[in-house]
Amino acid sequence: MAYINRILINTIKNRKKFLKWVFRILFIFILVEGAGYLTGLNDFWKVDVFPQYNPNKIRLLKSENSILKKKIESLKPKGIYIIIDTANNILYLKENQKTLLQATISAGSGNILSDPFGKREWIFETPRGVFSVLMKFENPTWIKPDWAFIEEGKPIPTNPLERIEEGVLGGYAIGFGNGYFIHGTLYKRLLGKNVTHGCIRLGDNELKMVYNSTPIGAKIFIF
Amino acid sequence: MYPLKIIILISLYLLSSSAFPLSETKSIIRENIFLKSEYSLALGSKNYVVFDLREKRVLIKAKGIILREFKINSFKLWGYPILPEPLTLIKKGSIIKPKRKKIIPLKIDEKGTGEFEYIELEKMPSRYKLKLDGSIWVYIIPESDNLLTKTLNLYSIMKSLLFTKPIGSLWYNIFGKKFTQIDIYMDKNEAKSIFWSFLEGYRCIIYNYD
Repeated sequence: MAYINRILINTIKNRKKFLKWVFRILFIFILVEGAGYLTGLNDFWKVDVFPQYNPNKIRLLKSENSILKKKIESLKPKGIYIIIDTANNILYLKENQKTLLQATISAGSGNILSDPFGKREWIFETPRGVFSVLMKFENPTWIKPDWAFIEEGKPIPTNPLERIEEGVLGGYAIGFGNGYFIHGTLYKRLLGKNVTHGCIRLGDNELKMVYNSTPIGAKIFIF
Repeated sequence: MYPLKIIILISLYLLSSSAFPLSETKSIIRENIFLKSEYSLALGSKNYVVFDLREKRVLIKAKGIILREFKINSFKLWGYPILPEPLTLIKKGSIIKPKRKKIIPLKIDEKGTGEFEYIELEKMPSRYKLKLDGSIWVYIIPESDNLLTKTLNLYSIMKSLLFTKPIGSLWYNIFGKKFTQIDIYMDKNEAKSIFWSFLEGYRCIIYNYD
């Protein structure tokens, strides 16, 4: 009986000790939370973040705003341009606000290839940003780069003629820099999927329309 | 003549002060900062993102044109007010990160399986945080459509209320920095698209209401 009593007393004592610690931690937690909320709210109601101007300066700012709007407007492309949505694999051919064509494409896969014999590495991603049409080719020939041989497990040829491959890029190719092109494809069933090495693949009819409509210098927006 | 001068001066003062009430003054200044920021970004050749909280939308833009627009269902602001100045995306954080597949080159005379693995929109996370410079954190939270997302959203709210907001404010204030947190609730697929399009190193502007 005495033994059980001792255990009970010890448990109560331990529980008291435990509860004491719980309350201490809770108190510190509430203190920290309170301090956090106070500083956060103090920041939230700050009104002095704006620069101070007198009414005359405000008038100047108003006219400056309309000038800035015009300046931004002037940066927008004039005439034909292309927008490429790599997330949804869609190409838009546009003229000012009007959409002339909406086509399904294939954009870069985002996969990585390492050269087993060297230190080179390729990320097969379509570049994003603002580009321009730099060159246009009819019946283009693909000059296979090193990665194409590595991927296929073939030795890299020393003779440049062995790199030439006809008929794989479709009827047309539109170059927008760094070896990236908008071109045709033999794998039409893969249109709508991110499977390319960075170029943009397009169906035959859509490619023809884009090729014929887009002049050299036209802007290409890729996101 | 003297009283007339005073009347003219007083009326001129009243006219000049009433021409731009405080709220309009603020919005003109805010618009001016925003337009200057946007112009500086539009001059470059990179895409940029505008979190337009006034119009409840996120815009992917380049050279001033809207490439894609996403709808914000609701948002919550906490911490230091943000001016619409260019900010850089330092880091994107999510529990499950999309991983790039490493291509294993074929061996000589080996034929491919014809199967393709690739990074696609579907594999992008819809719940993630964006760390912007200036100690600004943007949390993208998908609208709850099933029990799992409802539970995760509840967890996000609790975490935000008990941890990130108060502790973040206190932590950054101790080190003399400004802390801002924005929780943005939007459609799951649109959240995925923003994760895809908004790359680390890209710049953005947060355009807030007055």
